[in-house]
Amino acid sequence: MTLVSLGDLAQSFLLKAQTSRLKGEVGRITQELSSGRVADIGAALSGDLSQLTSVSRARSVTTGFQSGAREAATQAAATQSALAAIAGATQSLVTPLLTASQLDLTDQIALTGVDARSRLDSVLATLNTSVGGRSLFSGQAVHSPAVIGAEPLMAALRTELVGATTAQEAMTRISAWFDAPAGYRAVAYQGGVPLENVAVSATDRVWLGVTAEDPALRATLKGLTAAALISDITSPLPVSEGKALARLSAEALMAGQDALTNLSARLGISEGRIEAAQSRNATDLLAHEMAQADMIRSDPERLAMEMEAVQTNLETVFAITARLSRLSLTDFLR
Amino acid sequence: MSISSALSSAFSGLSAASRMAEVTASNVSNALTEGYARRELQLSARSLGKTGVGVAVTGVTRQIDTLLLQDLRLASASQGGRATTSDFLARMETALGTADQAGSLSARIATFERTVIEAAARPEADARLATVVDAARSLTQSMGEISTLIQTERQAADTKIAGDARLLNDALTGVAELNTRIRAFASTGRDATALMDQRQQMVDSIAAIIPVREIAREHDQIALYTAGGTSLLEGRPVQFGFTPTGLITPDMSLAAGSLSGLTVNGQPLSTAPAGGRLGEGRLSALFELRDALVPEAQANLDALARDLIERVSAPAVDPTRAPGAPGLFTDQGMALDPLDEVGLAGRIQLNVLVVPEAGGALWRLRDGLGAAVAGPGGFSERLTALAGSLSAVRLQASGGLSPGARSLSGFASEIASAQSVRRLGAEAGTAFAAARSDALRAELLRAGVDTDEEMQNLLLIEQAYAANAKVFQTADDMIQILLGM
Repeated sequence: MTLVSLGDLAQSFLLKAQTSRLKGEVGRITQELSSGRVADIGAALSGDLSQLTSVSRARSVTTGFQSGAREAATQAAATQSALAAIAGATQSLVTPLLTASQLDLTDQIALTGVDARSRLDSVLATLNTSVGGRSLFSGQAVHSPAVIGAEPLMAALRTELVGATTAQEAMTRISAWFDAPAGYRAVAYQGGVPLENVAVSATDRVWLGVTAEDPALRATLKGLTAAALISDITSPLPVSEGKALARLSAEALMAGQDALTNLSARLGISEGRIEAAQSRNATDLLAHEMAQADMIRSDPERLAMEMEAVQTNLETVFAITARLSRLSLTDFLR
Repeated sequence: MSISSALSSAFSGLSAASRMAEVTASNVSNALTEGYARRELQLSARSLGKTGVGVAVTGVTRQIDTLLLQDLRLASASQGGRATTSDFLARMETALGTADQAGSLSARIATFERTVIEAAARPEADARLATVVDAARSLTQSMGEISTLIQTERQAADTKIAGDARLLNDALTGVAELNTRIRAFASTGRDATALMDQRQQMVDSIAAIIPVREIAREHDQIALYTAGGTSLLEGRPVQFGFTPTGLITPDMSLAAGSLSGLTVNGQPLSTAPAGGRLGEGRLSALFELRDALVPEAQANLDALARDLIERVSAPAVDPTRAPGAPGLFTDQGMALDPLDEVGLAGRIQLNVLVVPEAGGALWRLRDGLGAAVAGPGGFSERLTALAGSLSAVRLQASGGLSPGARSLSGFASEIASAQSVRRLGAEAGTAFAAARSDALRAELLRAGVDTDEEMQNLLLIEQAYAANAKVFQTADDMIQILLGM
C-alpha cells in the first residue's frame, strides 16, 4: 500500500524538537536580559576578541596609572608646600639681616642670628617631612630622614671655619663645604639619589626628583647657616665680623630665594602634567568602559521583541500539541 | 464451484483477517518503538486449477526506506563527530575566558600589568609588591589550570576511543550473528522481521561511531563498509584494535609512537586527516581531538608561557641576575630551555626568590633577583622595566599563530580569538549537520506506524472478517439444507 501516512513518532519528534529549541531560546533570552550581557561573546564579536581584550586591558592599566598619578599629585603638592614653607621662613629673615648689617647694632645683629638659628631648625625639620611614609626630600631612600639635625650641622661647619678670620672667607668656606661631595653631601645629607620619573599615564612620566641636596636648597641653607653662625658663641669667627657676615648671609639667602622659586616652578610644571594626565586618564577610563559595554552589552529592546516572538511560537506549539493529541481516530471508534 | 471450496475460501479469508489483525496489533503496540519498521502482510489470491480458492498469506514485509536510512546514518555520524569537536572547542573557549571576566587569562594578565605599574609608583610599599606576587602567581596558576584541563580532554578522548573501539567490535560481532540467525529463520520460513529490527538498531549504533554503509547481500544478509571504503563486515566482522594509554603527558604523540593508533585486523588504519579512511564520525573526531586539536591548543598556551618567561628574563629588565639564572618566571624553578617547550604552560612558576612564604623576599622584585641586599625603597627602575617588558611588542618564537609582533596581552587575546573563531566555525557545521539529520529522522519517522491508518485498516479487517464469517455461515446453511433433504 503506497498511501501517504504520517507516523505517530514523526509528529511527536517534530513537536519535541520545536519545543526544545524554543525553550533553549527562552533560556538564552532570560540569561541575557537578567545579566545585561550577551550570552555568547565570541559569537557577538565574530570571534575577534582583540578589541575587547585591548579595551579591558587598557581599563585595568589606566586604573593602575591613575593610582600612581594620585600618589604623585599628593607627593608633588606636599613637596610644593614644604618648599613654600622653607621660602617663607628664609624670606622673612633677609630684611632683619640687611637692617642689622647697616645699623651696626651689636645686639640687633646677635638677635637676628638667634632668629636665624631657630629658623634653621624649622627648615631642617621641613626637609625631613614625610608624607604617607615617604620622606619627601630623601630621593630614593624614602625611609630615612633627608638631613641631620641643626646642631651636628653647625658643629661640622664650626670645624670647617677654624682659622677663618674674615666674614668673606667664612662665607667662601661655607659655600665650598656645601658644594663639595665630601662636605654637606657626605656629612649632612642622608637621603639617596633622586627618584626616577614617575609614570602617571601610559605616555607621561613626570619629574619628582627634588632632594635636600638640590642646589636651590643648598644655596638657601648656605645663607641660613651663615646667619645662624652670627650669634654662635662657639664660632671661631671674630665677633667683629658679625655685621659683614649678616650682609653676606642676606645676599646668599636672596640667591637661594631665586633658586627656590625656580625649583618650585619646575615642580609646578610636573604638577600641571600630573593633573592633565589625571583628567585624561579619567576620560579614557570612561571611554574604555563605554566601549567595553558597547561590545558585550545585550540589547533589552531587541531581547524583549525576541521574547515576545518566542512566547507566541511556544504557545502555538503547545496549542497544536493539545489539538493534535485529541485528533485521533481511536477516540472516534466508540 | 462447490460449496466445500466456498467454505475453504471463507476459511482462508478468516485466517488472513486474523493474521492482518495480528500484524496491525503488532504495529500499534510498537507505535512508539524507535527503530521499529512498520509491518505489512503480503496477500495474494490462491488458485487451484482454473478456479480461485481464497486468499493466501505470502509473507510479512518490513516497510523501510533503505536509502533514507542510509542517508540518516551518514548524517547522524557526521553530526556526532562535529558535536564532539565543537563541544571541545567551546569548553576550551570557556577555560580561556573573555577579558571582561575577572578570572580569564587575559584579565589576569591585565591585573598583573596593573599591579606592576602600581608597585612602580610606590616601590617601597611591601603591600604593593605582595600584590604583584599574588597577581603573578594567579597568572601562572591560571595557565597551569588551563593546561591541566587541556590534558584532561586528551585523556578523556583516548579513553572514549577505547570505549568506541570496544563498542564497534561488539556491535559488528552482533550484526554478524544476527545475519546468521536471519539466514536460518528465512530458510525455515519463519518470520525474521524482529531480528531485522534488532540488526538495524545495531547498525545504527555503529553509525553513531563511524559513518557506515549497508549493502544488501543474498538471503537478507548485509555487508558493512565505512563511508571511506574500509570493509567492516563481509561475512565475518573485522576486529578493531586500540590500546588506551593510562597517563597521557603533553609530550606524548601518535607520531612518536607513545600513543596508540587504530588497527583493523592487526593492520594499522590511518586516522588522520579527520574524515579520511575512517570517514567523518565520532571516532575520527576523537582522534582529531587527541592528535591535532589538543596539541595545537597546548602549543599555543606553551608559546604564551614561553613569551612571558622570555619577556621578564631579558637582561635589560633585570641586570642583577646572573646570566643563565632563572628569571621572574621559571620552568619549575629552572631557566627556560627552548628545546623543552612542550607542556611549559603546565610547569611555569613564579621564581621563589620573590615569594616570602617560600623563603624569598619581596624587595627582590624592586631591586632585582640577583641583588644581595635590599636597596633604597624608592628605587623603581626594575619595576618600570618589568611593566615595560610586558606591554612591549615583540616577536613570538613559537606557537601555531601566524608570525607577528605582539604584546603579552595581545598574544593571549589572539590565542583566545583563534579559539573562538574555530569554535564558531565548528558550531555552524554542527548546527547544519544537526538540522540535516533531524530532517532525515523526521522523514524516516513519517514512514513509521500511523495509528490512525492502522485503525482504518482494523475497520476493514473487521468488515472482512464479518463478511467471511457470513459466507461461512451461508455455506454451512446450504450444506444443512442439502443434508435435510
